[in-house]
Amino acid sequence: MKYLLSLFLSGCMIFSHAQHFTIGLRNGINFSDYRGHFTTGKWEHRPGALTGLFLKYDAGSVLSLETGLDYTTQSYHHIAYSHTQSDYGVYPANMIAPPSLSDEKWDVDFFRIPVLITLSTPTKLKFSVSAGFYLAVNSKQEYFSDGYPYIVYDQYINPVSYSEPGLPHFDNGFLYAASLSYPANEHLDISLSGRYITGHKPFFRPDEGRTGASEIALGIGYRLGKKKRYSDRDIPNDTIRSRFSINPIFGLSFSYLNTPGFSSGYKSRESFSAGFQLEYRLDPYVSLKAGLIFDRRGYRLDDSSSYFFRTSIQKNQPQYEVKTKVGLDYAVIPLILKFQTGRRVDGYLESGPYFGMLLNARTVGTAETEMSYPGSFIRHEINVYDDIEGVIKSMDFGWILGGGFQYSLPRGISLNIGLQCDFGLVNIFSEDGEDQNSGKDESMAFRNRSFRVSTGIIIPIKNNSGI
Amino acid sequence: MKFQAYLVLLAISVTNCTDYPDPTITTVEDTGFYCYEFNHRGFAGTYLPDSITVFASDRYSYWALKDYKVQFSIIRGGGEPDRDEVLTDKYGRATIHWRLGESGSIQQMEASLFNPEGKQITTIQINAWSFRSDSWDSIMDFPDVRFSDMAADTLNGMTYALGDLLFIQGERYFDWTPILLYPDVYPVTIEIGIDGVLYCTNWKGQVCRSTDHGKNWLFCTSIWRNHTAYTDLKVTTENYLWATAPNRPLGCSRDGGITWDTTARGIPATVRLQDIFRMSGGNLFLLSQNGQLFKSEDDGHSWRIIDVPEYIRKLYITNQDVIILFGEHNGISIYKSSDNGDHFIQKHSVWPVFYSQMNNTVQKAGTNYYITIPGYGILITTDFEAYENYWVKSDLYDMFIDDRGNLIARGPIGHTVYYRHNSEP
Repeated sequence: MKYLLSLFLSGCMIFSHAQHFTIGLRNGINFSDYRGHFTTGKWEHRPGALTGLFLKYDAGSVLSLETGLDYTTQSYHHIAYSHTQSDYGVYPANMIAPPSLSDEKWDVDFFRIPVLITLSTPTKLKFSVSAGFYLAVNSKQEYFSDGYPYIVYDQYINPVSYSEPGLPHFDNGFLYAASLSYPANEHLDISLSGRYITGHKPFFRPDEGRTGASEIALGIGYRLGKKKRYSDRDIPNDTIRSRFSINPIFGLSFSYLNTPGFSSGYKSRESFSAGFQLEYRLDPYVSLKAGLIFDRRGYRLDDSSSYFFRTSIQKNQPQYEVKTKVGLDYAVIPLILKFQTGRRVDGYLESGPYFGMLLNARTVGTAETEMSYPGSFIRHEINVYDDIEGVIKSMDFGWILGGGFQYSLPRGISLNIGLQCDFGLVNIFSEDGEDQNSGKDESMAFRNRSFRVSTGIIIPIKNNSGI
Repeated sequence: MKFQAYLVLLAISVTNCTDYPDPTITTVEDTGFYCYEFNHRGFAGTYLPDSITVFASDRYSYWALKDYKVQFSIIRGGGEPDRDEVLTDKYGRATIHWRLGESGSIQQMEASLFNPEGKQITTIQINAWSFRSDSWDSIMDFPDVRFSDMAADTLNGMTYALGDLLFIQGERYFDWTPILLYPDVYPVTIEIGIDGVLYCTNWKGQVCRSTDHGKNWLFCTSIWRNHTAYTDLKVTTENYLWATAPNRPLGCSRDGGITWDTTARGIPATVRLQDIFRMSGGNLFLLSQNGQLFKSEDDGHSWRIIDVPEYIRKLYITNQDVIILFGEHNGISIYKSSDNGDHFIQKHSVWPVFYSQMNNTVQKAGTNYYITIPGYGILITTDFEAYENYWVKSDLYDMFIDDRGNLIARGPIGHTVYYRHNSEP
């Protein structure tokens, strides 16, 4: 009875606010992104299907709430180091035990209920960013290992000696999304969204790994009731509107490690960044900027070391001639104060902190090792491909200094070319990533550094005329 | 300008999108470097009778590695190889001869393998054990370090050693050749009769005998019914076999193990045999493992206890019917009786650094008696009145003299064996 009453009240609420609701379909693709404390081997980002229904409630021109029901198939595949012949106990120092010689794959299907809070630009072409959580039910799971497939569907079947217990039935976690949407007509909105999903509870054994995925989806939404027109109630005045601008940027960067003490083996690496920034003009000369930027950082390692991703101090462990490239993918949220001259060719300086959330960490390249024992000599060549999130801290924090020029184009748009220097303030290596021989020595702290040349366009946010 | 910008963009994009190969470990070189015989033996200052051959091969394909340089260098003990450098032949072999240095004990040579690029890739160490006259030379090598018992056949000029297998001494006193035995025979103790017949006991408590120097063995008649435990076995000068076991009566065989007499009186079944000797007059003296001395005057049919000092561990009777006892009193004390065991007089005592089971305590060579005290060393005497330190060596456990008069002493089993060849007995 309570359930029916709730349903009735919910229905009344929906109909009484029908013009605020949008329902729709979303279809796309996801790429699995295993989240866990791993240090070796390759986790493939395998594609899977995504489909779902969504229900969105607009609480204003900027704020909205979204939920729905998604069905996703996710595939997690770990590729371990394969050996061309029996080896003689050669493993990098971060491998606690010899690596498994078998590849493993989990295929998992989920029904998922997301709940998101969304901030959107009050424009015809909307740019939105969202954050929220999800609850998921594991509807089907399969496990494959080294040619011995077996299905674990509501019960545990173990045809080989190695056992993988059934996965949990429930999962939960967090979602982060960014999307662009455009009204096709009075009722229909078309959207393109990208989501980043990270599980919260341990889901996989034995390293208590969590689910994760990146998703791209195309959606079509039907707005209930009459098409809503933006009004002065939604957007108080033109002054505020014109103070906002959106700034999609793309940058090329050279990143490296700040490594006091022994930096000879570390080289810079080139990479890229892309993202959006929202700029709020405080006065004609000062603005506040924030945004979300995908930024690949990292470094190259060209040295002899016990590790594939860092140098080591003592030489009492197997040494490798390492030529690797470490890529650290961050979702960076900057908070920047910008000072500008206000002319047609507008020079500016900017500075502020940033927070980085580690998305992926990976070492790729080659390594060679020679071992001479009494009566034997062995030389290995190694194709290095290690996902190393287990040794990199999940958060980074630092300071940005930058400057550049803005060139005014027609219709209020500006072209921006800038140079930014990012100074990481946090030792990027987690406890497990520390050199086992160096101990807790702050002088051995490794911090991100990058120089980035970025370009983008600054688009003032206006009412739903134009963009 | 646009073109250059696109080029830079393209280059960076390609760099970041490169699909790296899956993780693999490839063994691209796996060289093995061997010497089939790592431990050689020879007389100091002479060439080893066998050449030294080392092999280089690829362990993955088993191909021999040809034209790899092997460099030989002496690292311990002096001596020299006849060639310092040798290239491997088509079979991967490099062969030299090794003249040992003048010092005794261990000598070491290192063989280093260089690849065709001239890089030293691995080394092996080859040992040789060098033996001199009139000096103690140690060896830490198999089978010697596993020797637990020995028997010398002076009649036929043979010496046997019991380790993980039964060995017979070679022409050189430090060479040992294994004797193949049936698994059931496998001995844990070995004794030899005055006629050269070998006797042994195994873990099943059985007694075996061999009349052809260990080549073939026969099981003796069972001493006790349903007995499968360890058996203590001794042989006296007239080839009588004497045996005890836990809670078994003293067994005696007067016909080489064909029949056994277990009816001896005056000696309880709890007595375990430590030593037994017959005097020239026919009297028998038996020392139990708990230090009781028994005497029999009727060929072992009846026994009576004789008063002796406390804590006696070992009995020895000379050809002159002098009874010697070793007891744990004031260290290790030596008692002597020249009156058929009526009185024992303490003649000497030493303080060992530890106490241990005493096995081949008294060994006679010529007119000298060598007395091994575990934890102390070796004493020498001719009359058990005056004693001299022959070799004070506190980690010594046991000593034996082979049929040629060479002294073979050992520390704990598994450690070191010492050889001494005296040019003059």
